[in-house]
Amino acid sequence: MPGWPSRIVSLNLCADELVLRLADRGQVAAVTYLAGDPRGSTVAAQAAGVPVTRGLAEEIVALKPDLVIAGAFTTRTTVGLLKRIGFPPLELGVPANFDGVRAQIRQVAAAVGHPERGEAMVAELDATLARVVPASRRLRVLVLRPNAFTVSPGSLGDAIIRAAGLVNVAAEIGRDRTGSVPLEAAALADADLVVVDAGETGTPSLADALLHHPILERLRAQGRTVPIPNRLWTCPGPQVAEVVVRLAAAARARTPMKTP
Amino acid sequence: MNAPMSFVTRTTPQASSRRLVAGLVLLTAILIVASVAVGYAALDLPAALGDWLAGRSTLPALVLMELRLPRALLGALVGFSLGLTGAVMQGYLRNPLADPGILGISSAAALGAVVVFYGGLAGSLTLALPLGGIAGAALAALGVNLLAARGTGTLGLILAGVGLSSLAGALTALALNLAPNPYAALEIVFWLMGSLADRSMDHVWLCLPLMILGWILMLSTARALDALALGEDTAASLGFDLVSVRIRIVTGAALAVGSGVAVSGAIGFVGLVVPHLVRPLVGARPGASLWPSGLLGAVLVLGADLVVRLLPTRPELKLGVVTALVGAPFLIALLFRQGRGR
Amino acid sequence: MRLSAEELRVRLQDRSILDGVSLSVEAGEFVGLVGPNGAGKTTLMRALAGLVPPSAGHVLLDGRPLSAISRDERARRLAVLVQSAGIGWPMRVSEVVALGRLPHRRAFAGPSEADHAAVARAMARADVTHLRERTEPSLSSGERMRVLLARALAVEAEILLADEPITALDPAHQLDAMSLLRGISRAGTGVVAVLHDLTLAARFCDRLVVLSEGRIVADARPALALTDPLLRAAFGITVLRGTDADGTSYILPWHRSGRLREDDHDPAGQDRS
Repeated sequence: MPGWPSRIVSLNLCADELVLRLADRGQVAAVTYLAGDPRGSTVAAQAAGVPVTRGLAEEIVALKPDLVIAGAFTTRTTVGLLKRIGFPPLELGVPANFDGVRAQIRQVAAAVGHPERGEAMVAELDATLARVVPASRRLRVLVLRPNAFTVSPGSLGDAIIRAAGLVNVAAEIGRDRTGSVPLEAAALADADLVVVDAGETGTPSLADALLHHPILERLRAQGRTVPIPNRLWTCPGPQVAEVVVRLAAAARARTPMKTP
Repeated sequence: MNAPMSFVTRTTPQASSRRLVAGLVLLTAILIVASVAVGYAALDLPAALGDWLAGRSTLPALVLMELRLPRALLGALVGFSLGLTGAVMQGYLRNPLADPGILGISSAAALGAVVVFYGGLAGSLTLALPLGGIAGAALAALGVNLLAARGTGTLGLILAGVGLSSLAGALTALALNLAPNPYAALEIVFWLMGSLADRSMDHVWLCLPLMILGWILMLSTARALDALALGEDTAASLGFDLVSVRIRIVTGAALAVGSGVAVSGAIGFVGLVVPHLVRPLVGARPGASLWPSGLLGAVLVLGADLVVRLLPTRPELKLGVVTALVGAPFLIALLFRQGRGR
Repeated sequence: MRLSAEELRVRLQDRSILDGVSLSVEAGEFVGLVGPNGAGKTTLMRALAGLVPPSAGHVLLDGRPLSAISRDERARRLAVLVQSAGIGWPMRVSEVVALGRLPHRRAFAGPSEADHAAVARAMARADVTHLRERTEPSLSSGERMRVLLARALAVEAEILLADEPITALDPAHQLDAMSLLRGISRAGTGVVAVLHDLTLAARFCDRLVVLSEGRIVADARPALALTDPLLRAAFGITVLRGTDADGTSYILPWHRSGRLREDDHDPAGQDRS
């Protein structure tokens, strides 16, 4: 179809997820190398066979793209270069709420020439959210990602927690600049639910090993931990509704135990 | 007839050494308590302890036993290992600049632990992690020994250590970059600078037996180190089996430093600084400085670990940053003094 | 009490250093081991002390091979003062001398009364008692030598092997040290000392063993050992001979005679002075 981009290059995992879901396979020239890693990506299956880049300017130029989609914080050098040569990429923001998610879906859908697919995706998101049965009590929840990174108040993750009818404990405890919390503060926060990665064994790192610290294992033994794959939180997309569903379900499962 | 004179020789050094050891034990104990008391969240210590003693797994009890206590214990264990190893290496090599960090033993241990950990071996066998550190440390300690046996002087050993440290550091970076986990590449700071943050009792139990074995091996060489002050022939003529001494020192240093680095990363300069602080108090006899050096090492690491938590920098500083800020100027001053003396 | 070597051969780095050496020292005897540089004196001393394994032959202590005697027993019975030893750390003199008691100390035990007494005796004999609180960098080379001698004396062994014990001393202390070594031998210890000063060796020793190119070329009372032909052949010197007022004869190295083969190379690097 004339006017639609036919050589789309994505420079950011979150852009990858939307592009691969909204564009035709034939329109996509390249995605990032992260898209194919099932640990972090929700579109690993769709990314199979699509060329990948590491976001270096010369890789991008060589692909002769007609649309480049970048994130707000990644591959800034390449984005700057593309702007200087008069080929500004579409830069996606970091939505802090569901309206932002809806807007971003529509934005990408329009850019790739399939606005109707964007509307459908938004409708699906809203339908899923509408099905959520919030917990009867506002349980306190703490999200712990590798390296004890948590979900900051005011972020999309915070909005997800609120949508499930829960309270984000991270607002109460000190975080450092990077959003990481000391493990003991995390433990003493006495959260009703501690959300950790879905317990995929994966390859070793200290960052992941931290989530298997004995104190978290003890919380797990008390039934406080909720496994939710990290990749569902990473990007704004239809999958965030799935997180809300799972959180609410975990909260409902936890509530009767708390109030006998 | 010689009674008053022999009274002086007999009691002064040993009694003062004993007093010093007792004082350092007390100081170590106080710092362990302080380390347990300091943290990032308010913890009612008596209540936590009471809960734990009563067998109630409350959150405060868990934080006390699974986070605060292991951190304090590891600080003492790792510090003792580094201080003792520094004193033993300096005595054995008759070289006041010897130190597991400067000689490259710590960074080689970090490399060994990194290869094991990110290679996934530690997942299948928990003991593999300290064993990896020990293997790396043992290779480096052996290399240092071979160089020393060939008559390499102070500066030669230091330069060899610098070379080995750089090589081990580069290989560590390489191993971390090749590691499949995306977080691995960011974790080099832990391995090269060391930290005791968020360790667990598992780490304590993992390194404790290996460290104690290493300590025993090294402490058993105290008299041989004294005799070695007069050279290898004299030491041998005094009945010391120098091959056995060398094996005990290399094995002991590898066990203590290797298992320590495997759980806390490489914390530099402790082994260098501590024996020099101890000598004015106990005299220059190498054997006399072993226990005090180990204890002062524990004090130093516990103190540094308190500093990184009390400073408002977040994320907290790595321990090696603090020990290097103290130790590196010390090393430079030592080198200057040596240069003037020769 | 007798330390002896039988047909001792030592090879170091594929060079023969000792080539069939037999000698013995009895309790109460003061034996001087003399010879030019590179003759193998230090290697012989190290072999007698069990510090270098012979490639052939034996060292026997009271008829038992040294290799069959435990390290501890050997350390108590044989005291060794090595050549040009230093003190590696600024230890107090009393601590250095006390190292000589290590072979007598029990595991985990501090020094006993006997140890303290032996250290005090050794320091008094070597005239270092007044230095007891001094530390290494403040000692003159003569003082250091005497401290190390005191260390060896503190072992109170049956045999004392001393490699060049008087080289760093001034004449007065050389005479003191030689009297001391002779005094120790009179008290029942067998003493072997490597000496370069033929005058003092001839004056104080009961017997001189002359080593040349790894072989013993003379082993006799000083007057019989240091003959003119031997001095010329082994040392390349001629000596003045005389008699002092008491009728004691002496020799004095006086002239160089001919070339000394060993001068040019120092085969094992063992015997430099």
